[in-house]
Amino acid sequence: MKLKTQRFFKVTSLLIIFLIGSSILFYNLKNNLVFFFSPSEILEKKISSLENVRLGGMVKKGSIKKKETEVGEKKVQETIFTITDFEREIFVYYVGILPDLFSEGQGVVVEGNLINENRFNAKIVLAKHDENYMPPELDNIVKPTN
Amino acid sequence: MIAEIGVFFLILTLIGSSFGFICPVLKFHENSEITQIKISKLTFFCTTTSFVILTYCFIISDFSLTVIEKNSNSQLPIIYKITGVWGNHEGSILLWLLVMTFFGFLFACQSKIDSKLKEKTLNVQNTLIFLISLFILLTSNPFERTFPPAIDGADLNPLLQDPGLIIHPPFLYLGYVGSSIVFSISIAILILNNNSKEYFTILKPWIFLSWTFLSCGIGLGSWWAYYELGWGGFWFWDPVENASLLPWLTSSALLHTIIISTKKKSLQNWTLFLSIVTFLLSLLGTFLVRSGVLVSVHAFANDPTRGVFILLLLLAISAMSFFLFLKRSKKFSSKLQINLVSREGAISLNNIFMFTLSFTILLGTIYPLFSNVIFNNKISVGAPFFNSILSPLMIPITLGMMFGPFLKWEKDDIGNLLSRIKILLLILFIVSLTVWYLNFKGPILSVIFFAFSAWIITSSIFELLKFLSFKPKLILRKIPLKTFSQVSAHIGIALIILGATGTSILRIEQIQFQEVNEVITAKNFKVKFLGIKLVEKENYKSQMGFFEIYKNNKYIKTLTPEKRMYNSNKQVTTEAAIHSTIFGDLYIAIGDGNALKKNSWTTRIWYNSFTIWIWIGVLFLVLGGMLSIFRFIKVNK
Repeated sequence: MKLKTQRFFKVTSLLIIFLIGSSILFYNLKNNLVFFFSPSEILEKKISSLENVRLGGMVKKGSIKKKETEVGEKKVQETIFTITDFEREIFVYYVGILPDLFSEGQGVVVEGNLINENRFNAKIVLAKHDENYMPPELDNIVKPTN
Repeated sequence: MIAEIGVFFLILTLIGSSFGFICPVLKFHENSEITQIKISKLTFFCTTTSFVILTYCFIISDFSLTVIEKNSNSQLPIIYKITGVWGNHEGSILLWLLVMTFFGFLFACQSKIDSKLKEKTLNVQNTLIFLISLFILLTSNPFERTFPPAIDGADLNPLLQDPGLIIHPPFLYLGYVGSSIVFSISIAILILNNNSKEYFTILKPWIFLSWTFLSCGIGLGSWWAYYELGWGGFWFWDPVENASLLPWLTSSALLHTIIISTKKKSLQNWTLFLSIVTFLLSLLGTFLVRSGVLVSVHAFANDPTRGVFILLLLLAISAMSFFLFLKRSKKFSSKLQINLVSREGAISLNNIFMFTLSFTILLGTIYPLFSNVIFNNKISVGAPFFNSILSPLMIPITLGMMFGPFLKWEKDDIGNLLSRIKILLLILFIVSLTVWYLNFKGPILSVIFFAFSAWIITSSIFELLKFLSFKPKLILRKIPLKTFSQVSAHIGIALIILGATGTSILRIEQIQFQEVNEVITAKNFKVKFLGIKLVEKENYKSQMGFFEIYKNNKYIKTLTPEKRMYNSNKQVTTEAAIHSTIFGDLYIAIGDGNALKKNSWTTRIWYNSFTIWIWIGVLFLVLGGMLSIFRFIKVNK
């Protein structure tokens, strides 16, 4: 009997530790997920401006504008461009250095917040290693051009 | 013509290795150990020849081959023509096969191994070689012709035209694929159903070997990303990076359990389990990289059919090996209880945490895949998740590294331990105060991790002091190699913690339009921008920025970060310039010119604290691994 109770305690305590561990894990995972949308999806879904999301599509031809803005006391480059999925479009504002492979007519993924229907503030413009590479997320969006 | 010879040798590898599993089934030969040895030597020879032929085709720029047409160029410097061999999918899988046959060959050449174990191991290894060569011939033949032959190639991806990439993939593959021989030996042990210590002793050096290569490969990859990508970081929790970290974590766990398995026959089933998992994770890594199922900055242009093949391979191998493991594992589980407060206990705890860590990283890496299939939404798991998992798990791992080595085997007592290391505890207390005093203004997390790092280093050094005796006079007794290698590896981890903390938590970043002659301050450095000059090289044109660096108002040197435009495909790359010191790196990259104002450029200046210690830490890790291998060679002479 004593051995049995001992084993029972062992198993229950292990189970409890496991449950606590995995709930912390999944809670953490849930909080750190970043959802990906195309311009049409993001405009339909009413995303809160506080939520961190990814937006992907094509950089519209002729839409890239670079200007100087001030952050704090420093002058920095701000880039404004349009991401399109050939149905809806969104203006993206980004302060900082663009990745080397960023250019017009190419697929792009940005991460940041949707401020309103026209403005997406990008914190990160995702770089890629290969000019021929297209993120799988963009596959359905970008095909029409080819 | 020569390319066809290459294919011929690949087919020969396929046929040769197929005898590896046909022979034992049909019982062709009396002495099947010799047969397996011969097959291993033959496949190694054939694959090497095939690899040399591919390299030759790259050197002479034979653009009638599809791979070369897509990944090389006549203007390319000779060294990058050669490294172009593994700068693409087909070539890198051929390299993978070469490494696999190489390990089979090494094992076949090793004498003093029980002949049954040798036969079965090579049997498994040759079967794996068969599967991989089948994969190459069916989905990714590097010798495929293109018609009509191209006049010039499309060029090697400029990011890969870099010294770091010359050696990073071979080392990574030596580590990745090195786990295949560990896997083969473990499966052989399971098949033979024999739990003798001798068998586990044979397994041991191969674990150390592949672990050392893997550490080296990951370190080199991280170093390359740091100075080549121009993002100023060294680790991005990218799926592909995680894929290489996972087998490293499990094989680090394996390094520890194998010691117990060879010493006292306990934890043997766990050792075998980890060996299998490590190889499966390597395969999974290859699947993730090659199939392009995950969004990754590393994903190069890829082909889904290959992904399906590797996935099927992965499923088949894991199903078979786990089935075998479950059937036989009883033989390898010991009845001995493990005391929590003992060396074995510490190692077991370390294993639990290491395994938890790799499991959670795996979860975070492949969760987006499941989510896409099940909930039909596209998500990604960001760096904060991985950091939030890693940080708390560092606590038990650090404590284990600090106190584990001071515990006695079998049974120990906490009170006893404390009295044995009371001097160490005092020193640790002083060290903690010092760390706090030096950093108390900094973020709390950085102080904690710096303290961890300092603690591990202190207790590791203290371990060596054991061998110092003061009576009757000061003598240093001979320190065993295994202690040296363990201390070196632990110090390596401590230094990596130091560097990683400094680089991620304490980094200072300045991005701005910088005008010519304008001075920007970062930490105690002053950076003066002199201007941009156009420079033309063999296969690219470069905008080179000139920056004068002053430290405490004293001129140090001029740094020249670049923005390169490659001739053949007009791709632009950023070359950062780095000034390294032991306290931190000054890291400069240039961006676009200001469209509205002349003589003004976007510049990005970082001060990364203690980054250099990451690389030094990796060196210590590798040194630790090498000492262990060296010890094994010495013992076996």
